[in-house]
Amino acid sequence: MDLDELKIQLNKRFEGNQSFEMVVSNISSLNNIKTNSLVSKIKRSLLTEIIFSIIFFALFVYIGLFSKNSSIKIYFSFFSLIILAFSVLLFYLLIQTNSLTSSSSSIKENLKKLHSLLSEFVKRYFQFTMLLIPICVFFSGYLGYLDIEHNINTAIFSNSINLKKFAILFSFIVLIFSVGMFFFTKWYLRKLYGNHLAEMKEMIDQLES
Amino acid sequence: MTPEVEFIDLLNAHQKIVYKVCNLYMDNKTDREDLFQEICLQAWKSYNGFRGESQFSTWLYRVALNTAITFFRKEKKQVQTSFTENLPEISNSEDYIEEQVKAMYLAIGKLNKIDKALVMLYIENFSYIEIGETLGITPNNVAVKMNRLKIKLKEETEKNYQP
Repeated sequence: MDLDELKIQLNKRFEGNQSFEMVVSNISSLNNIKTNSLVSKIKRSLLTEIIFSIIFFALFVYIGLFSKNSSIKIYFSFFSLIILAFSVLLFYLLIQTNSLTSSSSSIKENLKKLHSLLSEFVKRYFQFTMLLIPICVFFSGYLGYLDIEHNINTAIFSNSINLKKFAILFSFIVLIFSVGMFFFTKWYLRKLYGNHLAEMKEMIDQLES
Repeated sequence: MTPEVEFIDLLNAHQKIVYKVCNLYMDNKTDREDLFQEICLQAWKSYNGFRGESQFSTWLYRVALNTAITFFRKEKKQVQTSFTENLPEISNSEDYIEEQVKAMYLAIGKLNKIDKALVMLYIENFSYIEIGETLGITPNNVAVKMNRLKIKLKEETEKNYQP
């Protein structure tokens, strides 16, 4: 017995709706659903990150404007601009994601669009996180150095040996932090989206083979 | 008639399509219910783009399959049910036919998402051109894939069914 012989039998069986029964009576009941699709998942991630970006932007602007310490002022003002740039990127990705709600295109086209969007999101997220590391290090090092220059009599930096020890320790911490952040970001993105990306790529390859 | 009412009427008239896709792609009741809601929601969101150039059923199949293929289970432990438990009994069927149908259904359940879509559209009597348009591949490619699938399913069914 092959697929053709079983076509009629299977067709009857696929209609087996006795295992669950649901009726859509109105549109408002649909709009309240917490969806589980990939597009919804990306949208939820983007919205969460936009909300956090706005909160941090407001906080950083406040600190930048009202802090009495000049180093802190520069540091937080600069990072408020960085967060603003990141928010613009997130909004751009959100607009792109919203344009994908129509899923009536062909399966291959839909998969390609989704794969491309998710790859872009993961790539930009990773790039942004990695970009923050040298900026953080540079600013904390430079502003720390300025503070030391202003307060040269500080006991810790009273001689060159202590300064050398501090530089080594600082470099070591920066190295550990950078490597840690690199692997953590990779792991985090792979955990969130890696399997989805791999699965979509596999399906696109299957369709193109 | 408002678009909302029109959509609900059309959806309810064609809801068996949604049930079929849910039964094919999900192996437990909770996931099937989630997918059912997701398909209905996506269909509603895409409904503005439905211009009536194709039949509503063809359009709904496309939306349903697109949604099912990119639908991911919630990450929680769930009681798995056997795929063949979705299969309704037909009282007047002879036992050996019933067993073979179950074996075939089990084999289809093991297929990947793309092959499941192919089988579903084939069983629904879609032409190779229509299947190709839905999947985004050429009719020739559909024919090649269907031939491979038929052989694969026959072999799998024979493994699952031992008289």
